[in-house]
Amino acid sequence: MYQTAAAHGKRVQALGGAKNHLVVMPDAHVEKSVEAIMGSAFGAAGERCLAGSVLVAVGESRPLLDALLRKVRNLRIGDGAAPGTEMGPLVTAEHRARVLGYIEKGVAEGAQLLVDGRERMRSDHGGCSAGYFMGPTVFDGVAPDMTIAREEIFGPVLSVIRVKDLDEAIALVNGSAFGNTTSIFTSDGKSAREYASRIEVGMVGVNVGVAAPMAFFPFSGWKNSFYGDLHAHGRDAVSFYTEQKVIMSRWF
Amino acid sequence: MTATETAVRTVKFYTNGNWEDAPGRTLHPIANPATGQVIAQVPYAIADDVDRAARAAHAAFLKWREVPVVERVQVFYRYKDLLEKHAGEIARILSAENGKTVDDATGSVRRAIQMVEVACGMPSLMMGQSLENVSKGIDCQTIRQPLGVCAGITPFNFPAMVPMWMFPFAIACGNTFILKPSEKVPLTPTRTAELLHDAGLPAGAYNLLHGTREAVDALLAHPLVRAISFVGSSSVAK
Repeated sequence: MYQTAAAHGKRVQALGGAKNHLVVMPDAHVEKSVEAIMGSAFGAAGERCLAGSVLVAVGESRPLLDALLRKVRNLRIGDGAAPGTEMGPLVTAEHRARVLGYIEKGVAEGAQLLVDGRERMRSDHGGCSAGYFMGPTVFDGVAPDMTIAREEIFGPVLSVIRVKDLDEAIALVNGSAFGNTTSIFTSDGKSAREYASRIEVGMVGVNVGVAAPMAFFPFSGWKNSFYGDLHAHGRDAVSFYTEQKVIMSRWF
Repeated sequence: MTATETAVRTVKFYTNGNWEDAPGRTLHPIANPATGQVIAQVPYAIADDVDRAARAAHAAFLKWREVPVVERVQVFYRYKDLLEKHAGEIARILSAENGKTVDDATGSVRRAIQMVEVACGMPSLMMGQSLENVSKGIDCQTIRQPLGVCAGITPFNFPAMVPMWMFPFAIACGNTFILKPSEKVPLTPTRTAELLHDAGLPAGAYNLLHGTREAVDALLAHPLVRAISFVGSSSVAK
């Protein structure tokens, strides 16, 4: 898109995919962080470029992961129009097949499948058994070079990577080809500040699961998540959709 | 009409202020992802459709750019009101074609409305700069001028919000616009285009085409299209 349109002499802003990391420090607030991580990983069934799809667990994080898994197993799936539904189906059968392919790949590459969303594919879902449903899926023991750790899945699949400290987390996230968004969960201001400063990602959340900028700020993805110079919305949009002209005037 | 043959509507294109059929074109089914039931069918635009839309948008641009920005944003004040009034309906349409929960959809409509709100501030946002006496007796100023016809190509996941990252800003700046949303979710953009029409935007200033590769290729190559805003996968974005 970017290359073709630019070759035709057009101005282009091309926003691409993502692989977004949620870094969880040992001092993160368990209940509130879990709620934010659930929304980030499984909101819109993971079909968004700001979805947190890799949970980077720093040091000891057993209580938080246990609380997360309980929520994942109890997530209410069904028709998005039905009251109380927490996650709807995927957009098409073809897209679901693609997401399921990633689950198979994760298993084949040696990740540990903690919650298998395929088990909830064909349940009743409130009378909607014909829909393109799948359950939320969680892998643990994911290595950074596995396909599910690197590629955008665009579905409700969360990969857990364990690291020893914040430095290792930062190195891991900065090693990604993408740079759309990331979040850190911590009660320590110093860790949060250091993470936000050193991370090579364009939209950073601190104890926020989906750091989607408001309309008056730019949607500022980095690296392979964005091709162009001026971002969507905010003041960048005004620059993108206008040409500047300089006028010098002298009156004799 | 029996219950089994209810309301499979055929989606139309919107060009030059008119809703148009695409006769003789293959119609592609749109299913509700929760039920698998077909709720609509959509024709895909060909290069001729893109050319027609681009010409209409360009003709509209020549007039729209002359409308003072203070008047241009009045359309978006009215649009915001209409979107607020119909937010629940838009969220239900969005949920039915995309699958996400009505709550998620409502949140994204709220975000879309915020884009319109910011675009309403265009008289302040578009201001240039000036400096007196940059050289003896010489004053210097910058002004911002619209580009012309701009196009948006948007994904299936946020069919209300992502297009509004683009066209309210583009049109308030004085450009005209062609949107080609994901062929998987044509109904939400149709409803939001109807409301933009009702808000009083002049014919041709906003145009809506559906389709896939052929429409996109034609937009990227069309000489009247000056800018492309795209949201999608990285392999396509590149």
